[in-house]
Amino acid sequence: MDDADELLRRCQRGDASALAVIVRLYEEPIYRLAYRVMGNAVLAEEATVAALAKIWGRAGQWRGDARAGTWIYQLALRTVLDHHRSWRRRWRRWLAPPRDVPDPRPGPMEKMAEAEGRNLATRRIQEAFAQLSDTDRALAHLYYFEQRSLAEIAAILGSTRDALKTRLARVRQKLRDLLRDCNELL
Amino acid sequence: MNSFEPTSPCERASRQLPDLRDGLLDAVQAEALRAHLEACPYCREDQAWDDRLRDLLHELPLPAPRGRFGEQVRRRLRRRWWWRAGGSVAAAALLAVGLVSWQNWPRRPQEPVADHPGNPPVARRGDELPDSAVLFAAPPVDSLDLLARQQAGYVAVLEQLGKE
Repeated sequence: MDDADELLRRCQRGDASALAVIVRLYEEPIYRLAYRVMGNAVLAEEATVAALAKIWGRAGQWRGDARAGTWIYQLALRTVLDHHRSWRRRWRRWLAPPRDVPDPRPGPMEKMAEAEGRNLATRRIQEAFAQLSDTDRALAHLYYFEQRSLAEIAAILGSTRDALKTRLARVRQKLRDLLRDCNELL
Repeated sequence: MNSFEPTSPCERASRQLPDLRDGLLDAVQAEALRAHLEACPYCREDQAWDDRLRDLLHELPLPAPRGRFGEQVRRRLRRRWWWRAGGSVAAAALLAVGLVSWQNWPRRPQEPVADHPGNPPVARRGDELPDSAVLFAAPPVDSLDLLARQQAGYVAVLEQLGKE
């Protein structure tokens, strides 16, 4: 049996020390996921705390159908997406309009930045990443960064492997289109 | 069987790339895919982009959290517990106040209800002659007033019969 399974079972019995271990094990991966989706460290921290607190409150709902690790990720991702959605709804009026795809021609600032090619490349990737939807960012993070299997990501996102394959191909193509102009930097 | 049927070898290869990564292809399928990737420049480029994307995501800066989250989680759970406890106490207090107010609320005296065979007889003014249902109903033991009025009713009826 998985360690996380046992920890979650202990949480169900009201063992607070098990929650402390879960927090230690999952705080960083959940924070990384939240940061990738939200792109803001403060918001990501808030969402991470909310997600970790939810594990304690909802541990009783875990029936053991999925692995505890998957269930925790599922809960965390849902919390992060909800958090981001409600934050955007609250601040919609004051938020800047979504950014357009950056002009591929290098401007004076970019020419300077080209001296530090990596910085520019990083900025371009971040901008391209920001063009994706929240769920697509989460998918790209789980697949490329966390290197999780599509079956596991499907369980986390509540989707099927087939649907995710199509979605992943779209994400890959979109990023490719957005970054086409800075191939030499990459 | 997948619901999606690829229409070309390249499309099939593109959809099989995640399967190859997850180790879901058997030896023959994996070999066929590798052979296709070797021969097809488009798919080779596609796979190279896939690998590049993985490297790029690893290179993107990912700020470390400012501290551990344990204490923040504990504080949040404690706050939630206080909110819940406070909410329960407030709800109970509100219910108690409501019940007490309801019990002590001044009520208007009730109007007499029309006679009905199912209803007990209601009090009437003395000058009214009770109808037959009241006259011949079994008298309630606790109502001396009604007994007196029943008796007066009998007398009135007998007097009327005597006149006739």
